Amino acid sequence: MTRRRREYLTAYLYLAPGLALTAVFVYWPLVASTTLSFYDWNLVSPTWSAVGWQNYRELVGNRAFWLALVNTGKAAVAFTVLTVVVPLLLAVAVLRVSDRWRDIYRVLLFSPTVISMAIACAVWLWMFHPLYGVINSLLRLVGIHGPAWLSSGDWAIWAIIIVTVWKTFGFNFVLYVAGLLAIPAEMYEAARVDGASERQLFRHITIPLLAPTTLFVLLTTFILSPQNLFVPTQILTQGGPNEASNNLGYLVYQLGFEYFRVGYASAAATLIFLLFLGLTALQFYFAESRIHYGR
Amino acid sequence: MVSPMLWMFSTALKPPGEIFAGTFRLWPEHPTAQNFVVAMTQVPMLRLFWNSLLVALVVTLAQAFTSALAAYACAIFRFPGRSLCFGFFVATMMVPFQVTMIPNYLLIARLDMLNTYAGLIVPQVVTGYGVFMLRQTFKNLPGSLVEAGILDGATSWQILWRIVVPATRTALAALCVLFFINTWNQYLWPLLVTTDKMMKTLPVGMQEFVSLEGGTNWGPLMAAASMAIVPALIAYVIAQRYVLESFVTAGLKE
Amino acid sequence: MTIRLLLLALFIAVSAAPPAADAADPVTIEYWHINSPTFGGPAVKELVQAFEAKHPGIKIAEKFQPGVYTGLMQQLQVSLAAKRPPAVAQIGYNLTAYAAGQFPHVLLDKYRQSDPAFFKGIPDNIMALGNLSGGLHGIPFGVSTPVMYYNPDLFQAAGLNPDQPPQTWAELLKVGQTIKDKTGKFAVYLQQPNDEWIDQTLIWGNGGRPLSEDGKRVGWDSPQAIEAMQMWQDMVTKTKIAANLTWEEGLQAFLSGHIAMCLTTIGRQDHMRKNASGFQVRAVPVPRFGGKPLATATGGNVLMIFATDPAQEKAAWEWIKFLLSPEGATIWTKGTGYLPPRAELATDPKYLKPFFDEAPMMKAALQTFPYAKPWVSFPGSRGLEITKILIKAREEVLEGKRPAEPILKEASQQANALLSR
Repeated sequence: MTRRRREYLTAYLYLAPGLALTAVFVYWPLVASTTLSFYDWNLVSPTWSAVGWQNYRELVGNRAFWLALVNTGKAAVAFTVLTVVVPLLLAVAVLRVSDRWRDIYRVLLFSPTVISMAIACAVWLWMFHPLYGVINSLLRLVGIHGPAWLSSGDWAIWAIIIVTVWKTFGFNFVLYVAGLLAIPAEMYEAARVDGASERQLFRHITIPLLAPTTLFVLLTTFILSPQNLFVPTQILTQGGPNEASNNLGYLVYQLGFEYFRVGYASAAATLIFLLFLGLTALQFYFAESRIHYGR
Repeated sequence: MVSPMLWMFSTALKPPGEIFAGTFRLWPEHPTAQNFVVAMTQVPMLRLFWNSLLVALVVTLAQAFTSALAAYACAIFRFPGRSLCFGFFVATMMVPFQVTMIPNYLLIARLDMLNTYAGLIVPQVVTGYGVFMLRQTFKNLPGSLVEAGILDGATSWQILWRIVVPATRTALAALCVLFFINTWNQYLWPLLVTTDKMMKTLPVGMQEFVSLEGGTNWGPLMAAASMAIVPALIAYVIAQRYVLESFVTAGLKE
Repeated sequence: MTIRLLLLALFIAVSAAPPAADAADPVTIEYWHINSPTFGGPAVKELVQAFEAKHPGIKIAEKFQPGVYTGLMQQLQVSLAAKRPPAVAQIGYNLTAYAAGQFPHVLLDKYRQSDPAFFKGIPDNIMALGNLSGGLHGIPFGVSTPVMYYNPDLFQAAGLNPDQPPQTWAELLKVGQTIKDKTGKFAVYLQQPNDEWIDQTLIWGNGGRPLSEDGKRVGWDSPQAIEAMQMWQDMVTKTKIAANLTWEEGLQAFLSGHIAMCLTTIGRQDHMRKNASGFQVRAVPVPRFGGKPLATATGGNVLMIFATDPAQEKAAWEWIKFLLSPEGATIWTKGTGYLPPRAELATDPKYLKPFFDEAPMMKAALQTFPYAKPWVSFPGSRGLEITKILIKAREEVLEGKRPAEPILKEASQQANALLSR
């Protein structure tokens, strides 16, 4: 066997367990679900019918779908700013601080992530209470009459976004810290000896060397936004009022588990998958070409 | 930032009459450990703890292992179909979990693995998130590291475990912490797989205090939640120490 | 071709059959319920013990399902797909039509012939809850009514007599205005959960029907319904005496003394009593509409049998009979605050009279019991979506951007279209 062929074979050996398990536990369900999307069935009835593209057509005509799409878009933008950019800046700031305080900050910033989302939502439910919750009480101090967060068509989705940001912030924060720590200290020292300012260090060393992590954080935050929105939506608003806070992550659940229309839910899931696949691939190829990896 | 946590602890210590008091008090007027007692007795807390711990540890190690293998191939080797395989893993993150949940449940049921640890663990062993993250990290290593290993005549397996992994242990530690916490707090999959009281995990068991019909038992729920975050916090603190230590040594080396 | 193969694979996965039981073993049946440790959990354990003592050949594996009736339905659906359903499960009334129409289960009419004694003593209006088009699909088990809880301290603070809460909606509007003017707090909260129980109560109460007799039209666009919902909208947006909050928020606000009256289920009476902050909660039946009789939707569940094995079915029926026996119903009512399906138990000193004497709030439910109407669940494969449409209509009504009439007419049109599927 040639060296090259041996490299190919070895690579596939490393990939084999991952590929096999993923095929069984992720892709087979996806294929089965897509097949199901052409039927009208709830997995249980003795009767079902093939409906062709009907589920897809109905989805596109469904007001809840478009609201969900817009809301997920709003969330994606909010997440990009608040859970991609801000944790980066905070990670840099925290690492500048002296040891003892650094530990404290890191635990504080990460602590929301440690709680289960369900418990976090229960607590935020209390905080969002329009009459005596912390948030509206604070707003009242500065003279603003806070909305009924969870019952208001305009604000419900933002309540969900706030909780999700609070909860997922820590994940990216930890990853940035790890990425920053991997940058060798000598690079900074050498540049400082050459007379570079802190700003220049940040722009010319930190940002480029952190780029692979940043790309990862950006893309995974985007990809996982529907999933992260799901539990808060389920616990706080169930997509209401009147679908105002519905989002792509919750929509699939609603169609499949509240209405038991598994075929219809599968159509939504397939659409969401394809949408995210396309958008992510675009972002990836665009950004990947601009990153300089170590190898 | 932390006020939700404070409220959680505060509620855990309050007797029922105080939980909904009109004005908020952080420290209860009559603090009580009653909620903790109720939480421990009404729900088999220790057993749930053990279940969650076992599943989280095994899943974390398994996910780290499979992710490292797959990322190693995608980052270090050159072979046809490399991008496709990488995309294959990353795309798993885009599949809504409701899609995988039911077929996986049916498969586990068919294999008679309901209410077992294996049923809880096996479908989660691979994660696109881990593969993606480690691929970025591995790819960012200086080329000289791996080449040195090849020149020394090491096998790819040895290079992975003796060179690549140690060089990226900060990222690996961070990833393991995230895996642990994710699995520790997981709800929907264990809910499906376990109906047997003694096999449930902590998040599922805590739902016994939640009832929209009879009213949620907030005190014991928050007490249980306060106890539940301890291992996750410990995992984070340990990883932080480890990460910090690595940084210190890395800075002193070379 | 590949599509066929894939469907085949899915069907194979779905058709997993559980192992067959040996005839000599005790029969073990699974009973799924929503009774958490503070809402009847201990009562379930007591019932299991008492039953197993009487029936040594049957073992009950009781399993708690989180998420109340909706959560249980979701687990049920998945387990039916895997061909491993429980033998008996509690199905919420609002989900009964869907389960009866779409989930394979055992029809219970045959037991009318074999066990006529069992059916005597259960009032007709209660039995009707399990009787849907085509037969008896489930035995009504949990029976709850909405009641109006109130905070006597707030009444006193507003200069009103706490022993005379309003009995009609007209009185409530007046009383509510006084409370708001004198105390600044909200006067009333009508529960706003992810179902339309209170909405149906309002419709029944005003003389309407949530669903027409022939099952072809929803009643949300009837004049009675529109009038009732408009009244609710005015209370929220015009006079602002009613709070527009999610269910959990509203209940918490009541318990912390921010709202004077709260219309929700009697099932919560124990929780209310324990958690009220600084005041004694009292309860009365919900207000009537002028001279019209009291009418409320009934909450709770039916017991449906999903067992496919004859031995399991037999055991399941024995279990159901026990649960509704005087002994079983007594344990059940004491543990949950649900009303006993056999009305006479409430006044029988051997069974439940002491309990009702000691829990004054239960009296409100007892008074409502004879007027309980069904919680209508919508037939057909799209029944659950219809429910959601009506909930969304309520949310839109309470938002107040349009009057109730157009909202309800549109929603009813959409719902009617789905009824015929």
